[in-house]
Amino acid sequence: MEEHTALVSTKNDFKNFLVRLGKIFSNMSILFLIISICGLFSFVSVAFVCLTGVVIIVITVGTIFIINPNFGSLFMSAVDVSSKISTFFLENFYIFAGVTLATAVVSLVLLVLDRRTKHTARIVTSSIVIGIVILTIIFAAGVII
Amino acid sequence: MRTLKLKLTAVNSKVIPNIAVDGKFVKCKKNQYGSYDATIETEKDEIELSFTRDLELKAKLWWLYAIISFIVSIFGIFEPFYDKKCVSMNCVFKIKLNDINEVTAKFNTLSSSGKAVELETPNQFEEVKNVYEVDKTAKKRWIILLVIKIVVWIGIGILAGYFISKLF
Repeated sequence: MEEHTALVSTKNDFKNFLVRLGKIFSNMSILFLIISICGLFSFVSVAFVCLTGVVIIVITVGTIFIINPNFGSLFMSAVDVSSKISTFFLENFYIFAGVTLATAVVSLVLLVLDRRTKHTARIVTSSIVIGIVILTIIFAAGVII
Repeated sequence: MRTLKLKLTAVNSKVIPNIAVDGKFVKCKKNQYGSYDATIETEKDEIELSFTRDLELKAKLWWLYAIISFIVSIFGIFEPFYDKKCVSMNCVFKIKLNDINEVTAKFNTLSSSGKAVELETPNQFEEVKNVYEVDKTAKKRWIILLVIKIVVWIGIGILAGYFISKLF
């Protein structure tokens, strides 16, 4: 929602461009926040794959290895792929979180400085993103280190 | 000294006018009823009141802004769309002034043609121009940008396919 408190007539196209950049960074910060959080909790997917494999073995009382002789290698490769993805996101967590924080802060600054239009929704969103990413970094500092 | 009280109604996020009196921009403040007010003081007997609408693609360095936006937004993924309709507002009124003057401008819904503003005032005025119209330059630039973006996206797709095929 964009609200106008005043109509400031301007021919300054550069200001419109800065607002556009602010919106771009706002959009980017949301995606990077999702990547950061998903990355942080991606170990859950590894645990889920492991759990699924174990449940299949228990339910079939081990006969799954007779029914599908490749089950063991298939299961291990699934665990391997998901753990590789999880490791990648965990190793680069601070990069994703840093990009999220930077883009959210830049967008907040650019949108707040726009005197012509009040970008209430985007400003609130960026503020929430900054809050969440800071909390996530604090949480990650406790988990990863 | 003559005073002109200007009131703008039906302004919304799609219609954000630039207001100028004799070529000088005027700032309007939002009042408690949701409309916008401005008080203009002048020595003249007649003023020229104009309303225009900013189009991003009408900027002098539009191509530079578009390129930077496209690159920063990771090839347009995160970029907000440019105004597709490219409707500009061209309104010029010549208003004869009395001692105290009140002018109310009601903006019509944005459309590709038709009257842009309904002006209400007890003063004598002449409507020089009052239209919403598709800005041909902006529209042409919008199409150019779209074509370039499609070409770049196809190029990126081919390059991505090439590198992925090299990986496996």
